[in-house]
Amino acid sequence: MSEGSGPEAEALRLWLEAQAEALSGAARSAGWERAEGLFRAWCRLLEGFGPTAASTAAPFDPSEWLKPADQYGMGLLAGWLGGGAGATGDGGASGEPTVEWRDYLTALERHRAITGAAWLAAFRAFAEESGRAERDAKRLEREPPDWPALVALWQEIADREFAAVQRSDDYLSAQATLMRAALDARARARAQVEAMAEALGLPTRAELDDLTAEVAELRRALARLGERLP
Amino acid sequence: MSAALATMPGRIVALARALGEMDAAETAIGTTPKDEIWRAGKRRLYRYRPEQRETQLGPLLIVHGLVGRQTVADLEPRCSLVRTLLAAGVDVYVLDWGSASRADRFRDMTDFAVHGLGAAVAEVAEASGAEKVTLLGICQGGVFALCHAALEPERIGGVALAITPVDFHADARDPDPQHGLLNVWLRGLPRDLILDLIAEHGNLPGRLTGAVFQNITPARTLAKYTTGMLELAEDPDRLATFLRMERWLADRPDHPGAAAIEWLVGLYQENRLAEGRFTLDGRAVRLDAVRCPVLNIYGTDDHIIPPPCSTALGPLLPPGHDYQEVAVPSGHVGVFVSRRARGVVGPAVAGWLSRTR
Repeated sequence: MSEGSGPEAEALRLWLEAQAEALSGAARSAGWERAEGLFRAWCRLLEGFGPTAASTAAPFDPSEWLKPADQYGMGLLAGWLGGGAGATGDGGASGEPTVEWRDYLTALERHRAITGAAWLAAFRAFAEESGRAERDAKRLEREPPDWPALVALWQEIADREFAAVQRSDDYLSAQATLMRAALDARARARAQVEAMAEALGLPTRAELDDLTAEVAELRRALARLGERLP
Repeated sequence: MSAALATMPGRIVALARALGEMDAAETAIGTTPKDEIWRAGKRRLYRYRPEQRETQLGPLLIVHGLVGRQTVADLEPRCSLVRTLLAAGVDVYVLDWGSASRADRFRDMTDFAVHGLGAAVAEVAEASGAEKVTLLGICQGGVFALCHAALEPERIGGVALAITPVDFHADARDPDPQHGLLNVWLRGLPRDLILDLIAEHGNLPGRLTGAVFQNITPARTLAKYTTGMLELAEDPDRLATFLRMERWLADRPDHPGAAAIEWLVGLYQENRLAEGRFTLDGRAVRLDAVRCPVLNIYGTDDHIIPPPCSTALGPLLPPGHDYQEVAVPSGHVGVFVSRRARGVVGPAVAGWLSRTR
């Protein structure tokens, strides 16, 4: 499709090339590393001016650049979490994102970059193979592939491309990093909430888990006793 | 392709209308009549109403795992393993583990595979008047059934397994790169990360396992809800079947935390069952201690439980054991719901029950 003539083919080709360049390993990594280094340097410089000053370094944060403001509803999610306890850990009072939340966004974007590259590779392969099929059909004066055939072709190519990417060390590493970052962000928010609950004399998750552990042991003891009864 | 695209608006409208006109009753699952005969906590044991005056085969107790639900064996009348077995004269029972909450986070596999299953087996034996009960374990439920048969062989007359993993590292022997991604992903996670995940959530969230399964084949998942559904717009029967499958997929309970750690770390990461290092109730689970006949059903295109992970069982049983494999030309859940599987699984189980009684 991108090899044909016509405005839609040209637009598709340019879009594919732009996305590939943005997501290509070497270019992205070098730019990202420089941006992260600059961001860290600014944070260190500004730490001396107090906790609120770190927010002025935000424009240098690469995760801010690639935060998908309006994509797939992530903007809404990011806004809600960015202003709430999940991000700041203090109910949004200071407006400062926690380190864990920032790390989560960074990990998320890294994961998206890898999966994004896989989608692009699949699109490219699909464009080549479907274009070839259409040209062959024209040359042999046959009907071009119909919609179900094209959908099946797309699925076969995309699943094959993803299977390869999802086995790669880069993907496994990004996935594990993302899971860890998400857990840490959640744990940070929960710790803040539990501290507040404890101060107010409310039951905490940890206390309920202790109780649950005792109940589980009692259940097991009861089951063992029941098995011994005639 | 332009002609196909031109039909899109009409298909979208037809789909919206079909979905709007469908009610929940049309897409209900697990509708084969059954009666509750026992309950303990969240567990429920049911006996399906026999279709014949006297059942000649069984009793057969269906045991699903904690990932997903047992209703997969009775998704709709046209592709219900339960109905096929009832028609063959089998006395069929099913165990429902219920829905785990955080209060269940410390329940481990011993609680399910030894005590929970043991209590259900005793109830089935009493209800049926049989000395021994045959188990049909589905996926993780098959691991429960196999372990129970190894540890408590006296009351088990046979074990049928469906899409059950035994060797969690045997995916390396599957030549299809789209098979076994779950095995690769889980081995790629640090052990501490899994432990922290369970500690943080209490259980393994059902939403998370559902999302993981969807992401194994992201293009297929996306297509299912877009172009796939548009293809179903003008076929109410196929649309209803699709929605029943989705209903089952969405009904994904949380997996009790302690059992999840044993499953993800002890089995997926450390492969203890196949390597003879798995313990339940403080006892070693030795597959060569299984005494009863074993039927092993697997899908040849199963990307979640690659075939080698299931077929690894044969050599682990005692030499000369009564062991039979049935290869079904389908994927994971397709063993129960695909057209190619119909006429294979039900007759295979009924025939095996008849031969081994």
